Amino acid sequence: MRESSGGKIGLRSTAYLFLVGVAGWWIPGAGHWIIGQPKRAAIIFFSIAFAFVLGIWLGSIAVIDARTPWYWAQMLNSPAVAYLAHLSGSVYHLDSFGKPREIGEIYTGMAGMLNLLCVINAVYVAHCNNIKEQNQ
Amino acid sequence: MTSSLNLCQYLLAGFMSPVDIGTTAKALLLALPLIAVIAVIYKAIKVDKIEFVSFLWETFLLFGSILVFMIVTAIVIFIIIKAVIG
Repeated sequence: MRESSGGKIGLRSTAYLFLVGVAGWWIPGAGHWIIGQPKRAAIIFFSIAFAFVLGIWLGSIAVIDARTPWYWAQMLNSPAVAYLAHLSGSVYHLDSFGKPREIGEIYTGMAGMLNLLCVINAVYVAHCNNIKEQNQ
Repeated sequence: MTSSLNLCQYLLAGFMSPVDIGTTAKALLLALPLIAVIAVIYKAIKVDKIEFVSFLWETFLLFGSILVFMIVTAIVIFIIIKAVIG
């Protein structure tokens, strides 16, 4: 099986793309860091972390509620969001209503969807790098 | 040890109860940080090379464009509502 960009870290190209995607999902910006773009990675990490933390500060961690559709957008931030949902729902039994909840959901959900955009971009750039290396 | 535990509890406590946000015009200002984050992330994945000044300028332009578009949209919706409802 051929090796390309992933060859630098001893991985086949599909496994490398998978690693970039999963890393970018687990830690925002990690996908760009793996493909050798640390500045972009830092900007993405701090921006998404800022939006997510601001969201749960405004609406409390109760905005992460597995019973709402927003949860799937929030989960795009990181799988760690599932633990926050467990804490807010099963451990502390928190709830929030009205404007703070609405704004908190928007912030955390948007942060997740922006992270999805970054993951797709990181995988695409990794794929382009793979093709460039194969053509050389 | 106790003081670090207290600090940790204090920080966590900030995420346990929602902040009081009234249904006022000032609440609209909460859109600004979100617009800034969207502009920063979009430009971070779009520009070829990240250099501080040019990146900041491009982000500022996108932030301004989104803001102006939202204000214009709000004005148009306000005019339509006034025309329809009175």
